[in-house]
Amino acid sequence: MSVEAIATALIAAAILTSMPLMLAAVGEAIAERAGLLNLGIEGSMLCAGFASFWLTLKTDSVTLGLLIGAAVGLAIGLVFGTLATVLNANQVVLGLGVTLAGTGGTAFLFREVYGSDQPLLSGGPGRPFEGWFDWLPVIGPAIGDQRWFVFVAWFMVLAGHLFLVRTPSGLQLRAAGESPFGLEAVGGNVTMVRIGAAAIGGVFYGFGGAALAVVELGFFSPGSTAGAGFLAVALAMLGRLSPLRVALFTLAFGLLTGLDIGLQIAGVDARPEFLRMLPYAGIVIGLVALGRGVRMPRALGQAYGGISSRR
Amino acid sequence: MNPQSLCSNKPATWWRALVPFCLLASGMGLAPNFGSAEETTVDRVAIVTPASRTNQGWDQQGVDNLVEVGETLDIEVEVVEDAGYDDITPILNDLASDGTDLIVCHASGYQTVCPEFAQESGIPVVVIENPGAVMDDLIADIETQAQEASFLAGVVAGLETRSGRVAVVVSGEPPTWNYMTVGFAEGLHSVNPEATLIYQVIGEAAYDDAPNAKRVTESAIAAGADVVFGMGDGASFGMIQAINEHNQDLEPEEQVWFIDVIGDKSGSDAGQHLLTSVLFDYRGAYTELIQQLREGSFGEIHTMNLENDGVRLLPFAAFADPDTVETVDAVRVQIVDGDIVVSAIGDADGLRERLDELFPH
Amino acid sequence: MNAVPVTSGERTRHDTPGADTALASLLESLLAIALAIAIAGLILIIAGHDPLNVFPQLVDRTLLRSAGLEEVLVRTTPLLLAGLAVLIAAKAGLWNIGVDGQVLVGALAAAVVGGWLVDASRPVLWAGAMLAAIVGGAVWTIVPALFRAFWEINEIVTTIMFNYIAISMSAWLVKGPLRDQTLVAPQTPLIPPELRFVGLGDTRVHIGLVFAVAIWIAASFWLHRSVAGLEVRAVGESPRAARHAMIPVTVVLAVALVASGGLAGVVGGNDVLSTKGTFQAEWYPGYGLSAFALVFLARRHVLALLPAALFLGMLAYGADVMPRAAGIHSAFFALFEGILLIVLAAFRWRPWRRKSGGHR
Repeated sequence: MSVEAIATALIAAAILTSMPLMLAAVGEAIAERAGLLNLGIEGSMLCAGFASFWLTLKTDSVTLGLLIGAAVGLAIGLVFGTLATVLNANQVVLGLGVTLAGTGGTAFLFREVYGSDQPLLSGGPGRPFEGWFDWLPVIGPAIGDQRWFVFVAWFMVLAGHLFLVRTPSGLQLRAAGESPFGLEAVGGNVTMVRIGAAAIGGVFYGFGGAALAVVELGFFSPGSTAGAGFLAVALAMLGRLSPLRVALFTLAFGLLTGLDIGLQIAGVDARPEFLRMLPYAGIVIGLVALGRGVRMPRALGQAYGGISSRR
Repeated sequence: MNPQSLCSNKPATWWRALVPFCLLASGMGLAPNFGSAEETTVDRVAIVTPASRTNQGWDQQGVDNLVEVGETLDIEVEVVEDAGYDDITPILNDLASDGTDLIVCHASGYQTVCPEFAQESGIPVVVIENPGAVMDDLIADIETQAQEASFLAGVVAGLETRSGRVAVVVSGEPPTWNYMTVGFAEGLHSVNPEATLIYQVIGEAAYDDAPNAKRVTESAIAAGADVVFGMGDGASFGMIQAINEHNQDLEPEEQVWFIDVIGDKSGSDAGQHLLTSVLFDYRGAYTELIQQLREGSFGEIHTMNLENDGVRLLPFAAFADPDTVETVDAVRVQIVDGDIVVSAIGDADGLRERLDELFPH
Repeated sequence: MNAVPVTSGERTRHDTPGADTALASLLESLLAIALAIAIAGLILIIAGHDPLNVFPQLVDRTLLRSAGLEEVLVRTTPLLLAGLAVLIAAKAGLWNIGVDGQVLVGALAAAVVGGWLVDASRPVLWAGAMLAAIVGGAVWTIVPALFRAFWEINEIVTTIMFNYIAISMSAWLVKGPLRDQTLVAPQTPLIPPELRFVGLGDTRVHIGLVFAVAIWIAASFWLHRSVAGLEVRAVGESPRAARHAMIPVTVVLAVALVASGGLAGVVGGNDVLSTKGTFQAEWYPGYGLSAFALVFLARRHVLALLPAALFLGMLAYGADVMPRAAGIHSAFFALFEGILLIVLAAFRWRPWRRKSGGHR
């Protein structure tokens, strides 16, 4: 077995496994840009994952499964956005509540629906670009090997980036996080913009959770996000809330987690526990190296009470 | 190392500290039911497992086996799953208050909480892999000497591998997994010393971490492994999905095969590429334990091994080589006769040393 | 990161009730519980269970039986301490989401030091192990605290990352150098039951509850009657105003987070010295999210922590017994706590307060 083939496999795995995380982190970046700190990603992803698995199993259609996952994410996002703006709910508490309810709720539902079975999906989405990039050593086959939804996910990231940076709506969204009073002063509706941002974020988390279940794993099991929702928050901050940068950091994180596997295969004599600390320590170090002096949206995490509330 | 030496040569120092305590407890009459020659009635037994039994592994096997034994002996069986590794004393007390006669603590992680509970309540318990804790009429121990059956699995892998690369993927490093890893490695070495063994740990207690299990297994396959010995529980499904996906559209001779542990997945979605499985069968042990409790001879170490069929290999999949089947049968006899002694190594450091000896890098 | 991250001033101001609003807060909490029960009951009906059986069973099993009540009090002890840990950070405007990691490190430190001291007298063992637990939890927060205080790096993210690092680090230590070589499953040497926390009377409730309540009272005084506590609260309400008032904001922030971590360490020490007696591989207690539910059920008021902890202690024990008593999977209780948190978060909308002038 050649080193190249292992490297290719690890890169391919990193691209695939970082994809749900990437969607979640980019969704979080968009929501945070509007001033909403959503710690409910983990719960949203699990709910979407369960729904998509359930439907895919029933209909045998991954596409339908992904769509219902997105719909569930959207619904949770709308609830989050509405509670956080109209009702001025505390975002951190709300988010932790969504995570707790989603984690417990999906575990509860899974048992109610499937008892002690663990159904598996067969197949999974196709790989339309197999062999297209083989001219590129190591990395090419890793890209060509991906299932179609991975390309959709990267397209979503790109679209999210352009939306945020290039469109008037994106500008409004950023203003809602940076200077909500200013936005209202020029006639914008902070509440609606923030609800919209929460909804967009929710769709990203929904796709992320659904993709984890029906694209990456081929099944759902309670708790299978294994902390991805919290990692997404960290990666969004590390990427300074720019979707493209967040996506690239997530990919780097995926490669760093793969390092542990690669070194174990190579038989490097280090306890795997140490290797597994690396990605998390990497994020902390990354925050120090990149995060110092970087500004977050000024109104991040704060409820907006309208101009009349300003003193 | 002889497996049994584990029981006799290693003094459990903490245990000595408990002796006065339990003398006191029995002196105070907290354990009035035991020690008499009269037959004790056992009509209600319980099993406590750390995770849920959906994982078709460790938890489910214990529960299913006890339920089956309960049906045969006409005993009521209470099941508590998902008890976790927090303090389970409240659950044990709750079971006690319902008049449970025997509690099976189905995790090596319950090695201290259950003996303590037994001494305080006087209700007999069964622990896993803690031979130092046994006590007359109160605490029995089940030793799953699965290293022997795993040795056979290693022989199978060594004979069936085409690439000469075999992977062991584990979801953690609990004693049960470690015993099996070492047994497997020795079996592999006995028939195929030139093979490469890839040992991969998914994470700390990553029993349900299917995403990482899948990823780790994929990389093992990429590294050329064509037989994967996977110990995972919930995470096993990640390994199985990695193999199922890899094998799609491949000729049978190019496919990767999976060797499972504990349960029998051969009839399910997960069984397509199952070569064999190291089966744990607790029925014999449970039946014997209940019998002993009735007769007043409870409190021994029960070893599940090849000889008493407590651990064995699942009948091979059709694609296995008939010669392999023969060889494995012969090796099994040698193990039962004591001609081959399989190491019993339960700790992670010891495991690594042994693997380095067998397959130096 | 230039935060003002989630340390918003306006949040704290009206979430800290004065005497006149204490009753309103209590009513709100009760209303929140009622709402959560209603929503959870609906889910139970949809899932084909009978809430009129489940909830009365829960009350019966947890509160109306002496064995149940004892276990509720045992469960309340760590929750109260974990809630205090979250609250002290929250008072300074910080979100300590790393409680679970700090508990782990605190427990490991307590188990190791307790294991060394088994030949010493019981009070010495307790003191030594508890001190170790505090130091362990505090040390685990130092990096996030310094980063937050001096570089304004968001503590939510760093404390979560330190949870993951704590899991891997403690696993390595307990499988390797700190393992009790006489046992197969990895754990630290056992502290025998007769050296652990004594029971109160003839019950399972142990002296840890007394310690926890004492710490709770001391923390209440510290927060509301001491200069340091005043400074913490001032920083939490408005870092800018606090800076104007010559309060050393950076120091206060760092101290508050480290103190929070130390308290979380006590949770681990309590678990080791009372119920567990050892640090076991694969034991990952999850108090963190429950502690948030607790603090917000108490409407961020320190005096309300104890009743809120009792309520969550009841749920925690309910998750132990209800699977058998009513066929309800223990995950249902996580779902219930989550719903409760969501309802509580939504309760910042208090139109009835606006009229009374309590609104910002």
